[in-house]
Amino acid sequence: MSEADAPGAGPGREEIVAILAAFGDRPPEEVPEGIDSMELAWLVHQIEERYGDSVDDAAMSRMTTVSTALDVLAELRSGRHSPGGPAA
Amino acid sequence: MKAASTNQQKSAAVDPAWVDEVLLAGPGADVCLVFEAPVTRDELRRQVAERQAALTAVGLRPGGSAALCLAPSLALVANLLAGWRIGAQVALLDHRLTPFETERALGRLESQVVVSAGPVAAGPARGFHAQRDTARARPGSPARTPHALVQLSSGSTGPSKIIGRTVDDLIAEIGRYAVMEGVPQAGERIVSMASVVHVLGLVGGLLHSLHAGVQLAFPARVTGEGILATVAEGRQPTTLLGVPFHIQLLSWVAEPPALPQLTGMTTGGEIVRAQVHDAFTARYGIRLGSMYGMTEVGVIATDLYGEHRPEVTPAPGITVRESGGELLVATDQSPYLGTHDPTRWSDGWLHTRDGGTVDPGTGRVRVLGRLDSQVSVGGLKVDLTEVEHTLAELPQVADAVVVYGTSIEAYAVLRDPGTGAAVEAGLAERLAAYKRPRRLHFVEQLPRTATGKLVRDQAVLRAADRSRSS
Repeated sequence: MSEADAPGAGPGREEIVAILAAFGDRPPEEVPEGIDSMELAWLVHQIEERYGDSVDDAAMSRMTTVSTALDVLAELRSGRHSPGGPAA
Repeated sequence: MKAASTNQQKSAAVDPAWVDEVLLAGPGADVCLVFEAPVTRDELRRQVAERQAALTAVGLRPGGSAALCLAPSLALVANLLAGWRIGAQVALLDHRLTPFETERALGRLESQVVVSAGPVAAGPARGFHAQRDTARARPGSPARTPHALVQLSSGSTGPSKIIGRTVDDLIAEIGRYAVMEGVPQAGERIVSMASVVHVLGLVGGLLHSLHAGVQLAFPARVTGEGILATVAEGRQPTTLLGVPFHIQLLSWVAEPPALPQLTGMTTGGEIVRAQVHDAFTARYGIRLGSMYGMTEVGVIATDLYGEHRPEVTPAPGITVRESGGELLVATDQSPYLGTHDPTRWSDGWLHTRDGGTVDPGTGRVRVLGRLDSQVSVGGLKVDLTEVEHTLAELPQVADAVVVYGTSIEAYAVLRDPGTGAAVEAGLAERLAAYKRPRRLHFVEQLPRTATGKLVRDQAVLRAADRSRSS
């Protein structure tokens, strides 16, 4: 939980990549940009454990790459994410 | 036992009586399936009758052929049983296939009727979906063989193999489940994460449950917590059915709730690694069994109590032998439609393409892994040759190699620089997401041996990739 000390601070790219690397027992440089469904399950589990966030289905459905996962998690922590999914 | 009342198949028309006798018999008020809501056997019969009318209305007849392109759902189950109840041959296509793959499969199968629904949303894994199914006629041919069930395998060379199962064969497999120690029986419950379009979830989950009077429930959300929530909804002794990835999901739950009804888990699809097995049994204290099977035969051998890891005992009525390091299974006839490949089936023996040994003393089987280029991605079989051929056939690609380490990786030489995005788009069109390379490396040239063969060693391939980027 200590990573979440700063209010609103979420995981950075390095941490996301480290989490994904741990899933496949692979070095971080071998983590692809795309996130598959098994990796997504692991990532969300880890984020929920570490930050106590709840990642809803609409948010998860947008987390298809490391970059979009970062965006979604940043939105979640700043309260900009609406559970119904993107307003558009 | 009902499974013993075997029907004889003489013509291409499938005798429809077995659906009612083997799968839909039993008290109408009993809940047999649980998707979003519990489904009683009477309700299932009603849904099947409704689909039967819809399929008949678009022209499906005894001896006809239909293909289902549906995500796991009550609609899928109802259409499958309805097709069989008409006496038609039913093909199951994975809903994750791209439209390109689906069209190509329908063309090869020559299905006369196709049942489909809108695409399911991306995102978290779900055990079932709401599917608004529609049946439509398409130019096709009646069934050419007496098989009731048709599935496609990921083919090791060229196009995928078409695999058929007769009613007799399915009933025999249901019969194996009925007598195997450690398989849930009447009054018990299965919570299944195994896809209904693949053999473990289809026969070991759906058909066995319907036949034996086991309640079959699907988790809405396939996460550790989601699976356990579905277990908690029932009081009957409950067995989980899934693939090794689902064991991992459950192992991640830090403090699982007390669920005295959860008595065990059975997995198939690939070998469970020892550390995954140990982490799960330490956390849950329940039996973790494994099954070895294949689309062509169904369940071949099991170790349902995890007593003989990594060995499995042949299922009742199944004979396995080893020949030249390969496991062979005795089957009366070739399961392949339209091909006579003696390297796949000959003289009553099916070549599994799995390496393994059979202990002469105990008869137990040790499965060592694939002898061809097939890999398992989350329990789904992917043939690397299919991926490599698809990539190499793209107009922008001059040369390609596809390998598997922790995931599918491809190394490709482009005809013109800067066309990488087009290659990725081409793959996305032609290959289902789970078959696509997770990493696509574009290199100047692929390393070859002195005799000109492509090198598949990942260290050498990586070096080729690095030399390009440096």
